[in-house]
Amino acid sequence: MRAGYQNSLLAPFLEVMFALLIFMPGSSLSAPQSDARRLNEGLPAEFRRTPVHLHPLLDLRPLLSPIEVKGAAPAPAFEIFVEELVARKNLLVSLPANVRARARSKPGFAEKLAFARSQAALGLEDFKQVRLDATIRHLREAAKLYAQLDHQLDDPRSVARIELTRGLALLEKTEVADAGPAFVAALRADPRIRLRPDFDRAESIAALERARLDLLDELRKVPAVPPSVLEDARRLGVYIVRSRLVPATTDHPESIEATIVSPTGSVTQETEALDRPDAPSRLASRVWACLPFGQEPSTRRTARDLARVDVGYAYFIFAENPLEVFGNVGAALDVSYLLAKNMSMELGLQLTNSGRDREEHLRVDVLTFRGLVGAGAHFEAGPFRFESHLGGEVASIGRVITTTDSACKHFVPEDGRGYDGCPPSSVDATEGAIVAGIGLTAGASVNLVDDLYFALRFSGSEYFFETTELDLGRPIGATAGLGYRFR
Amino acid sequence: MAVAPLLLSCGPERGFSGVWQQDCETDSLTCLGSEFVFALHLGRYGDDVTGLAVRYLKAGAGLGDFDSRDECGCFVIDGGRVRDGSIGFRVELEGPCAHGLPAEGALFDSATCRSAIADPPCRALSFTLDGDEDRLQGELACDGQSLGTFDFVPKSGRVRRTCLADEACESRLEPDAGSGD
Repeated sequence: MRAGYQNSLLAPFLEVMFALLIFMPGSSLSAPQSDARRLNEGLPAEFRRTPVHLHPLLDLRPLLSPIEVKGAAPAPAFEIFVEELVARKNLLVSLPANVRARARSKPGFAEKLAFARSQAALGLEDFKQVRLDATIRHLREAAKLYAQLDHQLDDPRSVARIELTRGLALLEKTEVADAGPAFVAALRADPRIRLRPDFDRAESIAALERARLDLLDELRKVPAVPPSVLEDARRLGVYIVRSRLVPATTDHPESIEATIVSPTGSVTQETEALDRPDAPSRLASRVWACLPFGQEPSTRRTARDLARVDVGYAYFIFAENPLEVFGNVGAALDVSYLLAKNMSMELGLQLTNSGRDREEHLRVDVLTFRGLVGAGAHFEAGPFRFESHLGGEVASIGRVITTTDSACKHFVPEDGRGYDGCPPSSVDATEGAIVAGIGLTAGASVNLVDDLYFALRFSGSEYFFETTELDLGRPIGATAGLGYRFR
Repeated sequence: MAVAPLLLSCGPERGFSGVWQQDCETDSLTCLGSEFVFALHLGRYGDDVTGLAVRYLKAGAGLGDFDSRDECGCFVIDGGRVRDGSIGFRVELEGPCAHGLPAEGALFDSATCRSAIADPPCRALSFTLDGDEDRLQGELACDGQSLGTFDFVPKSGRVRRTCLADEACESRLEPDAGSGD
């Protein structure tokens, strides 16, 4: 036996819909494109490229003796690496010089740098005058400020000098344990820095040498990312790439490293040994693969909401009403569908139950179901959206029983027993009606978080047709609810 | 925004609805001069007030009032209105349902009750009461003649909607009766 749907009239329709789903652009079921292919095919003008900030290279090769690195090229590998990244058109690469220029132009940078330099000058002068405690205090403050400014990227020699001097002062005070990290910090800032064997004390030279060897041992570890760099990535919403050239050791060849810091604070490291001529290109490809591709512009005719659906509470009164005002409370569903820019269609449904008027002439809860279909305009201003729609309304109004005789309200015999002071002629009863007319809505909504929003609408209708004369008409009221935007 | 106050202002007005009993502790002078105490079973619907006024023979010293066995008249409240916070209504003592029987064992038909009703003779009682949800104070008049001031205090309990406990009022009335007038 064949499947039921194949024999049904629905079969051709379902097959066409399935084919559309498969082949429509952007469909999740259509074949995915690789990033390389997308790059080769060219990017649209409105493509949002991934912002990448490249920090200046830290060349650690001089950690080996200067003789061993003498004659080595300054850093051609880094230059190739940068060129390869810039060539990827999906990335918006800021070159190291621009990144540093932008950092130096930040408010307060110059003042903070001037203060750091003054502290450094004081500390160096204190060291000359053999005021060791003052030296340590001033240079620690200067080092802290330099770290906040990432100053080793601009002037590695100055940063290395104050850390080295601080280490020497600590050593003079025989605080050997604290001197070691200061020497390591000096070598991290400028791996070329050395003491002079014929001028400096042998003890100091040995301590710096121990620090150099310690640093060489640590080179294969992922370098720590300063908090200021993490903060910059988060604040600017960019990916920061910090590169190092690491010297060869007995176990590893010379290599180039790239540490990628994402806006969310995650840190990824890629390393490529420089024993192959295409190593910088390979590193660039690996870094590129780690970065998000960028954002395609919306393929829809507009980036605005395609549809909005909200549910909430409804409240209205019948302005045309022989009784005193009574409220109607219930649930509301509202669907708005985008027709064109600033034009939309609205479907509003309400199911409500009535309360009572002040005199309680209305003796039953009136169940009302209202449906409105309309078209209208909307416009957005920041997180707010204002809209108004005009259309047709159809409503079903339930049974209505009224009386103005208070005896009919109060003395209700139960099971035919008890006082019954209510003559039947004092009670009017109508078995409900279907009514139709036009309706107008106007409202505003505000985006809350992500695609959620809060909406408040006012509405009013005028009925021109009713199956039974009810004397209830012109409902005016409001709805309030939470909604979701479909894009 | 203009319709917001309108939307929020509507709703039933039920103030003063419930059971009220004459307070003879603070109203001792009036209570001393009367054979009866009243309990009001009120239902308010906006500006209209209806319900029942139930009359009890006063109990002896040390005994509790408003015992169903002391019931000596049950009357439908007619034409009750609330104006500016003041409640006014009257009860016909000689209406078709005025002599509906109280609960079984009550004294309504007893000689004691009839004796008490006979003096003073009265066809209609008028109540004019002011107050709030905690106390109603006002005047009781018999055929236009003031009987003095009365205090009523609210009591918990179900509002009574018929004078008869076990049998329909209509079965003991004339065929054209039933409106309470």
